[in-house]
Amino acid sequence: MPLSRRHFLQMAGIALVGAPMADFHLPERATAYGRALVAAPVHIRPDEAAAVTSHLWPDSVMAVTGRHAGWYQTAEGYIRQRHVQPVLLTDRPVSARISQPPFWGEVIGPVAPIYQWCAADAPLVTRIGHGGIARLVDFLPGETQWYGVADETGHLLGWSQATNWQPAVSEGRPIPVEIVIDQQAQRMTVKANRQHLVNTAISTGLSLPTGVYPVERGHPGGLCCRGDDMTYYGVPSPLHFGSGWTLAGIYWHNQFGEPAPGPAVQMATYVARWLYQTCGPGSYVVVRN
Amino acid sequence: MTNPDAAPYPSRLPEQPALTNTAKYWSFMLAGAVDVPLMLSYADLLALPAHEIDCAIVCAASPAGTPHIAPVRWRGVALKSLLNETDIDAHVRCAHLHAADGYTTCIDMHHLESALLAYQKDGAALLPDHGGPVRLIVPGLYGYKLPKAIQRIILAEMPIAGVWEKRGWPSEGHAQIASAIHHPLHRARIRGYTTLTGTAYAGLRAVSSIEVSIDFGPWMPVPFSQTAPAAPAHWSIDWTPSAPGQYNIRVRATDSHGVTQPVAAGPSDGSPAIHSIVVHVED
Repeated sequence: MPLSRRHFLQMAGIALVGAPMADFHLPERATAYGRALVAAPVHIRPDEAAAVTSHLWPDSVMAVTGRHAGWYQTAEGYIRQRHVQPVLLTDRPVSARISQPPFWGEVIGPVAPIYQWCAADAPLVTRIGHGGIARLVDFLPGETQWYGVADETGHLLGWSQATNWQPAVSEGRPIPVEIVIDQQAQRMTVKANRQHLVNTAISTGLSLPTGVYPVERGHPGGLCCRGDDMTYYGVPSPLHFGSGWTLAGIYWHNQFGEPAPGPAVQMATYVARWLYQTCGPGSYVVVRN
Repeated sequence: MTNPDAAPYPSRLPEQPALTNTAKYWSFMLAGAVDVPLMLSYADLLALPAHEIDCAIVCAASPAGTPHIAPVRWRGVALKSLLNETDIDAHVRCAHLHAADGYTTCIDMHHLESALLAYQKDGAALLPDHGGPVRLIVPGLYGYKLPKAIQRIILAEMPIAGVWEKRGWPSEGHAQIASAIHHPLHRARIRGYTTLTGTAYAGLRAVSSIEVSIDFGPWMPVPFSQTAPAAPAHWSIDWTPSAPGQYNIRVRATDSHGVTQPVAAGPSDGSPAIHSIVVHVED
């Protein structure tokens, strides 16, 4: 069921702090969904000890109807928040038209597997989750249509089915914003013209020195994050600040509110997209402990 | 099981008694380190008390997921009852198995406790293609340890290297955990909702979990039922694809000892790679 913007933000754990500004471009009508990051157990109550009625298919998407201290409520039952990637589905129409590369593409399916060649039984290169953005550099027509996906250097990374992608669009008008990172609370507050816009949980990937740093936009996506046991491609909406640090959207976890390996400042993909589109010249990051 | 020695060599040596694979001429001998060898005709065997077991036969060399791991009801004579008819030397450790076509293999003596000289498969007389007239069945062992048209069991202290053991196959021959997707078939075209089904088998151990993965994503536990260890477990789960296109579906199983099928391995080491199919989901 479509929710009001304010209701959606409550579901997603984002506090809309002040009066919304004209340039605040979270969609008016959006629906809160969740993508299961694992075979998520569904409990009858928001309690780890409560009976498990079923498991959700990994990468399945379900509507979120409520939120209870670390749990999402769905029609099936209660799911741990950390097992679900928060997903914002908007009224924006999904085009079935194939776009000719090169362009920046956004993953609109639950996940986009990237294969070494154009076949689902080819060796897997990586999986880019919902909201990821990558440079699409080639196209193979046929019964199943495939895009060639580039890595962070622009070289072909692999192939992904076209149904998972659509062009990444840029909405809104950038304005100067102040982005306050509270490392102690693991929260981010965004202000403009002395007005609070949003306050949301984040994860920091490292201990940042306190200070004030100018911020600038990078490409819409295509960032690569290499961890100990996994490499994530197509990390979306990067904003760069300080000594090579990055704020970016994260599609592989929902542990916002506590530190996590990855970019310096991590947030839900739709929050990062909004921040990327809102953050204009003169914006800066304030890091606090 | 194909006997690789059959082509270059005669199926029996001139000094050996005639070995045939027809019920009329079939005979069986239990000999070696025993006081009195036992000899049985096919009619003698049928006159003994019959016993039935459910047991799948899995070939160690089968590609992952093929052939299907099918449950089979075997009827025959428990070998344990024949062993009780004779005195066996205390030093006996193994049984040399000889088949009508010259095929040989060897199993540990303790496996004979649960072995069956089977003459019926699913209620019908055992055909030569399936090992007739009489095949040795031992739950939990790979097919290369279960000779078709078995004619002699020689009890001995030392093992021998059989046809496949000489070629490097494991002497133990314990069936390892394996699983398969039966529906849909590889390259099938489906529309929307479908039910995924299949089997898993863990030899003498029980199957403790079966999991399915779509497009190399996280593993999803699926419900299954298993009537007994050494019988295949049957699994089934409904799946609704999120969009049209190609999907990769994989299955893996874990046995009661906590051993999970490796993603990739050679078949001859008894640990087959996991079964994977691709389906095309239409609009």
